[in-house]
Amino acid sequence: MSKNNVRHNTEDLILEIKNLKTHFMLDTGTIHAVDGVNLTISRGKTLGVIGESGCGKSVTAHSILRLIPSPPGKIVDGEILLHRDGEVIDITKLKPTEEMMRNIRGNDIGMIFQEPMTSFGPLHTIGDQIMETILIHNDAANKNEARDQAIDLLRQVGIPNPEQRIDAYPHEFSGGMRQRAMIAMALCCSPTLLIADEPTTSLDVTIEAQILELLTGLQAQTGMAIMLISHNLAVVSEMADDIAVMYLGKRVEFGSTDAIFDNPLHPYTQGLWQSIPSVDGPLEKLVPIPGIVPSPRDLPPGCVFASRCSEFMPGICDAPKPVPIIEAEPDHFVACYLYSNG
Amino acid sequence: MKAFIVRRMILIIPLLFLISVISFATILLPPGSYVETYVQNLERTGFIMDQGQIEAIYRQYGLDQPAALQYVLWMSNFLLKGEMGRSFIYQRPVKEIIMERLPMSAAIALVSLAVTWLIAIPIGIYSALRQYSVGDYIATVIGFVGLALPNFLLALAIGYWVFASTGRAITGLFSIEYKGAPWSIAKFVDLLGNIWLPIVVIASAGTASLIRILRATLLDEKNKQYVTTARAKGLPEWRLIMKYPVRVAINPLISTIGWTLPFIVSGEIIVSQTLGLETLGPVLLAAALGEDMFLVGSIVMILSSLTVVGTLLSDILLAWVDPRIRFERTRV
Repeated sequence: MSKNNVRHNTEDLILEIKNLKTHFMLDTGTIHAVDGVNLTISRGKTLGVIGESGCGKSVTAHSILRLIPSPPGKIVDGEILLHRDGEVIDITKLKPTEEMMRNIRGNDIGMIFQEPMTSFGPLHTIGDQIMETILIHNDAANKNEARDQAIDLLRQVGIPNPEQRIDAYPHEFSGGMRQRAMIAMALCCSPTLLIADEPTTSLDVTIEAQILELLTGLQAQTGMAIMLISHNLAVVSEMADDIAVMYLGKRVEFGSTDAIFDNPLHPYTQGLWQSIPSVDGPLEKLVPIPGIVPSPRDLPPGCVFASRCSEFMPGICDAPKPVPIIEAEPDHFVACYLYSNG
Repeated sequence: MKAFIVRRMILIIPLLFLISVISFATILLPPGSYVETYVQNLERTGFIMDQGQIEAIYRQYGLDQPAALQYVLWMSNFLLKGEMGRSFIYQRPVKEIIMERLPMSAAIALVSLAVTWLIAIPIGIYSALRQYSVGDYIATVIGFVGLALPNFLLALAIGYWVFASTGRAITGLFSIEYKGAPWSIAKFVDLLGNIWLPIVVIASAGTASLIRILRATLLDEKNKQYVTTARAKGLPEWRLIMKYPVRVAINPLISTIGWTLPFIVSGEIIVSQTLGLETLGPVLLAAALGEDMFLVGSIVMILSSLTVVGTLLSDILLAWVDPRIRFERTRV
């Protein structure tokens, strides 16, 4: 376990996720949505988390802020360590409703969501909802200061006429505008970490580029870390310093963006790369990953990717024991028997 | 918002005119008239009126005029003097009868409305937030029983149970000794001892449906993205639930406020009849049975107009609480 964290100076760490398991207890069985994930995020860096739908990206993000609806969801194992002002807080030990947790939400960790259209309450103005966040985390602030601050934030995220727009209702904003306002709201207490859960998935491509540019710019200004969750490889490759590849609730590969792109190790990561067309290279045949994702209700024993893997080794990959995590090259981890040297 | 209200107010005028015409038509509609019934009753006792006397009665009520003129006469009296004609049965102006019963009708209706909301909203919120908990099931069962049981039956059952266990007979708003008496503290205490029954009975039915509506809407709203957003901002759970999903879930209830306006005037007719309450409901029933057409027409017109006005009030309230409903946009 400790092996996963050696690459980082612990002073730079903001968030460590160790062996996180978030399960959903349903009448029809237990869903292992997140099943032993390790991640680390450093100050000022961007961690990209990629994987297809249902691989546990969002559940991981929601677990960090304890937003998993319970019941049926439950963090059954692992640690989420938040480093703040020299102290280390294990978020999994907090109650979702307790003051310490509410203090972390919006204050230390801001979050933006996939659906800007429904992310704001429909009956209150954008300004009211942004000011509310400022006021709950800063007892000293009064309404006028909060309003000025909200106007500043809206200007920073590129909303024209923020003095007037602050009093607009969410339905008067377009999708891209709402996502900008959402970013303003997530940033209003200068969080050290911003979780962006598929922030551009429901926006069109030009708006997507604008929003990503905005995030990069704000990161340079504030020095916050970003956890960028996406199923879009291009988005992640452009923004991220490190990339975690997830499959069926497991982190199958983790390394720097260059390492993951130039030297993908896990057969799943290789498969992902082969399934996207390259713009400037010669025309190649796109190779889809065969098979379908197994149900997270009954995970196969051993490696969860075994049933679709081109390198499948009978008797090894399907052996009913956890797949070892191997540091194949410095700071590049992969969960695969191919690299276990015996 | 102002433009919205003005536009709706103007739209309502032709509707009110139409209602008055239809109400007046109901006055003229029945083949016989009260005068005929009256004359027949007199004849049965052996008193024969001659044609002249009968025509005198017709003239007295303006019944010999053409219908259009009668309508103009009736409406202008109503608009200018608040007069709505004369009741044949009670032999008194319709206005007097209505004004006499209105305060008690309104009091019972408003109090039961307040009780309904005070009970239904907390239970509805609880039921939605603790879906499938024991408390939710209990609220659901009681709600469905309240919804399915006819009000008057509940009134009779509770009335009987009170009589059997305490010997007190609740037959109206006042005990017999206070019925005609002037207001006093003793009479008020007596009223309190009786009035709870109709309030409980009327509120029980309304509560059940409000709980169901609120529970269903809130169940929908509480899992929406904006609630998670509010939670991710660090808002205390109770505050965010009340501020965001509950505010949205209350809207369907606000749209029902309009229907309660006519109910304030007429009350629950069947419950009032069963319990002998001196509200307008039983008057309407008696007037309809006795072909007392000015009384019927007037009450029908008032109730229909109040429905229209109530709907207008609901719409304005909704537009006020929900920015998505307002037509105009914030100018930017």
